[in-house]
Amino acid sequence: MRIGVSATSHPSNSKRPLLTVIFVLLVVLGIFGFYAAGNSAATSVTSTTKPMPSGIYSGAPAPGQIVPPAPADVPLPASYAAGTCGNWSLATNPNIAAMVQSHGEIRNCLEVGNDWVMLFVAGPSPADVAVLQCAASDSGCQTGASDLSGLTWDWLTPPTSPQPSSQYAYAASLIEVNSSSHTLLIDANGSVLTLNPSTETFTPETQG
Amino acid sequence: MVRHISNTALKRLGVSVSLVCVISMAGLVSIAGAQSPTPNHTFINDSPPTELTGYPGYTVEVADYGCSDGPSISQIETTANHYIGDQEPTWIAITLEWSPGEYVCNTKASVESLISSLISNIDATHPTYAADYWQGIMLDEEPWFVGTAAGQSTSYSNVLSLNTWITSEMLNATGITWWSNEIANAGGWWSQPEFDNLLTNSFPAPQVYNSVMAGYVAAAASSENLVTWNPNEAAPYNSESFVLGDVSGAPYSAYNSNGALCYWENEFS
Repeated sequence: MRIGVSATSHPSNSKRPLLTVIFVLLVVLGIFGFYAAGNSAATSVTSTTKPMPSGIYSGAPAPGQIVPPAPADVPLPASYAAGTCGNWSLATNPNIAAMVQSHGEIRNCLEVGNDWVMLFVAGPSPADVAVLQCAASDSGCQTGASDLSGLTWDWLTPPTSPQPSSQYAYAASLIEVNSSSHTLLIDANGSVLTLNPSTETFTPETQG
Repeated sequence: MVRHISNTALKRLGVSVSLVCVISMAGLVSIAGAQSPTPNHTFINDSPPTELTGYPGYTVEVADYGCSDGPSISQIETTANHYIGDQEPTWIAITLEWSPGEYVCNTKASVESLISSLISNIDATHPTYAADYWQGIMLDEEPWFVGTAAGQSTSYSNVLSLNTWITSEMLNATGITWWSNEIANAGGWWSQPEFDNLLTNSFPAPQVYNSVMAGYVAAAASSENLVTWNPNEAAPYNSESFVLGDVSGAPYSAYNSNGALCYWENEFS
């Protein structure tokens, strides 16, 4: 009521109570946010020395809860950095789509020395490592500027244990790149191996 | 110790009030999805390096901990303390590798022991800086590393139990130090409810390397994400701008060494 009277009769003074209300609201919201985040997430833990921080994930969204909107069609990059897999590695490329169909999702794709490597997960085939060896004179292959998807990729089966169970598919993923030796450390179906793309050989890591 | 916690609590209250404005604005401008505001700082996620300079923020990658090719605890502590001592925001990322019958490097118990030791060491080494710059422990939780041979239910329950434990543990760590989940669900072996439960109480730092992984992150609908991306992926997920555009919510925020509140992404190197 008081705000309404002030707002109509004294424009210059009218901002003051409004600003006060906004300030108080902000403070209340801040205190509420600070403590509410902690309380909502602390259902199974008793706080001892500090509250749960704000911003942590508090669980799956409840029905009707406002959540961040899913991104709409994100524009594809106009270009890719040298040595990284370009447009030819898109899942929409028919050659790549065929690989995905037979070997699973692409987990990693990168250039190692003069060669290219793709690792696959969740596929039905134990051959979940693909290597493309570029000829020394083939600069288009080495730079990745041309479409590499239709070239002859060698499919390798890592020397690992059999498929763990019918519930799970095969999986190979990158752990580390050794730039000096042009080799990769990978996890293949639960075994850690060094992959040398130029010789297409695997060396088991010593388990200690 | 008491004085320090008290100061930290006051600062957090002030920060939280400020963040109300930041988050409100972020909500208004994130109508189209994507990370908003756009991250302007990067945690470099790398193995304990021989060079100890040059990173604006650092994630100490602890892979194969417990195996002969993995880092020692002293190496982890030395690297982390170096960056924290330089007042650089720092995470320590531990890969869970306890898949029974396969390549076992560590166990739930050994990871808990490592985390407890790290908290003691870092808080003791940098009692002031740790409270402000040690972001905490980042757990790299991936289905095929934690029990593909034993079955999904076993691995899931064990990992969830670890997450409950670390939440309690972090309540006793000083300052802002907390835990994050660098979860990866490329094969879709964890169901969406399991994925959501594993993220609960963490700062999500999901690995987003393909459309399947992006889908789980989108469905979890976290209001905040520290997006982990990797240049060694197939297009377009090897593009920083694409991945940041493909994940909703606000980015993780933390102060940099200059005292500025920055928005962060996490690049696997």
